[in-house]
Amino acid sequence: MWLIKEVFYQRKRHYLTITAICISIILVLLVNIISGYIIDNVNYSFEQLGLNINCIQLLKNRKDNWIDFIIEDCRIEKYSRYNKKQERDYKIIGCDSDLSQVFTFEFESGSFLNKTSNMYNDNQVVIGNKLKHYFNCYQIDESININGITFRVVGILKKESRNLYEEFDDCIFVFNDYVTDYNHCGLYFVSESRFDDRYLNEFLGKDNYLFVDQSQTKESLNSLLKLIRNVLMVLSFVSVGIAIISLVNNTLNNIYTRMKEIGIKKALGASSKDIYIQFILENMIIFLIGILISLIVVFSVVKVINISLKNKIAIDLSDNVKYIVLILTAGSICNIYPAKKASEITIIETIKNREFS
Amino acid sequence: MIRLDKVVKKYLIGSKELLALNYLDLKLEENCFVAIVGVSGCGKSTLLNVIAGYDDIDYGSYYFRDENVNKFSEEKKLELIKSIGVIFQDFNLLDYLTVKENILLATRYMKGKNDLQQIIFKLDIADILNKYPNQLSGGQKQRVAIARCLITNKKIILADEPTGSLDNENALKIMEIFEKLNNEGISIVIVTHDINIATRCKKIIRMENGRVVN
Ligand SMILES: Nc1ncnc2c1ncn2[C@@H]1O[C@H](COP(=O)(O)OP(=O)(O)OP(=O)(O)O)[C@@H](O)[C@H]1O
Ligand SMILES: [Mg+2]
Repeated sequence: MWLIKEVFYQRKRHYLTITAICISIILVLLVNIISGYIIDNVNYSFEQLGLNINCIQLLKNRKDNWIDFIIEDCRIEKYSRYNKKQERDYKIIGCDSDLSQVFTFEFESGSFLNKTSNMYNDNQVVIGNKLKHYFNCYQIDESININGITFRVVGILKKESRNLYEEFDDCIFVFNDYVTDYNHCGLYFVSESRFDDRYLNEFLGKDNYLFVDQSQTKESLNSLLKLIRNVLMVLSFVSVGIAIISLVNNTLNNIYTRMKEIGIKKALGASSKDIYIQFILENMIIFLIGILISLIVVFSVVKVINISLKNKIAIDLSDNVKYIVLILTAGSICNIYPAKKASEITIIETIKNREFS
Repeated sequence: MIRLDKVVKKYLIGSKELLALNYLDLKLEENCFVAIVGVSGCGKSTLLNVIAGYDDIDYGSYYFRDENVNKFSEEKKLELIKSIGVIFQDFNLLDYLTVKENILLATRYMKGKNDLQQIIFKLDIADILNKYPNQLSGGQKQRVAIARCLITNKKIILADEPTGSLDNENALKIMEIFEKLNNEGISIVIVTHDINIATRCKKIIRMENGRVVN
């Protein structure tokens, strides 16, 4: 109780150090929380896209049933064939109905191509959102004309619908059967583990295909984000170091301006240990005040940021507590030296130096 | 109660030795009321610092209640410091504490607390309890310093020019308090330049060049 009061009495002395400590702790916590949030969110987005979707795209046409071979040899269960035809104002993607199992599409209205329905003979298409205007077709079950063939629109995708590889706003999905001119022919498939592309090299020839692996993309993006996060963490810990140095320096300087205090206390019977403990605890209280203010600031900043976020940032206290404890310990350890110096001051020194205090 | 035998306290000034206490012998009885006088630089403050246990001596021995202080451990030294109250001319109070907090500061490091109300009454400081030292007059400050000695039951009070910065009226008021305390059984040792102050004590000890002369 005495101690808190004394720290408070001498608060002017501590303003700057507390500010420095606050800034550095706020930096550490915010970097940790926000970078954690970004990394989580990226991973979450990947998961939403579907786990480990891989894409093999043929760069040279082949005559054989290469897709079937790969599916069989690699025991791929979830997959979809697709062909892509490039047009001026829209892309035609020929696919099978399994594509909706590999990707999750979001629909404004309607649903995906349905091979098992009675209407199979009906020419079905799903169109991207932009093409509503292009074809003047704003509802499902309306008909549109593509290259002289009439199709029935069974689904309109949501605006900005996309997966990792494509934006779908200007895409038309039709069944493979209707695509005659195959420039590119490819396979989307889901694999739990990382797909080994050595087999593809052997089978398709190294330069004849393009392979995109989502887990690979995810990993490289993740490692990049983690690198950025680590660099920022190191920088914020450097600022913590500077704050601690300034606190230690401040305490060391204070020893001489506080000689009178130390002398009077010792003359009243305070032992060196009492003084030592006082300095250590005082330093801790300063840190605790700093931590408290930092926490308040961090919580409010996160709250403010959260207003504009769809996925709210959640603060994982247990994760941040370890940093706080680390900072507190480092600060206390660094303060042992000045505290020891302060406790070693003798009454006689303070009496002789009283002109200065 | 206090006995100094051939005590030497040396200071090195450049390569020259200065004997601030020069084979000094001194005896102070229980419940004494002593004034120490002497020219500036004769070693009065040095002597007080030695008696209070603040300073070590280079030669001779210091007996406190028949125990040799030279051989005291850290803890016993602390006990000695705690049992002696010291009042300086102007080096007593912490500026950031109120009068009351300054007085109670002593109880933080020492067990046993006397009745604060009684002390406040005795020293007539009731109306300044919540003021800060820089809001006090010199005489008030000294009374607070005395109050702080009383709160923890000191048996000896050493005062280094307690009235040095006070006017006559305030100085006399402090002396009256000392007289009262002495009657209650507290030993009092005052260092002073003021002969009026010295003559109010029961005994005057004269110092010259680090020695007691009569
Ligand atoms: N730290 C020191 N280093 C060197 N010499 C010192 C030191 N402290 C005191 N002295 C010397 O010791 C002598 C005694 O000093 P002391 O302070 O005891 O004098 P004093 O009798 O109290 O004088 P005053 O009446 O002016 O207070 C002086 O000559 C002083 O110069
Ligand atoms: Mg002196």
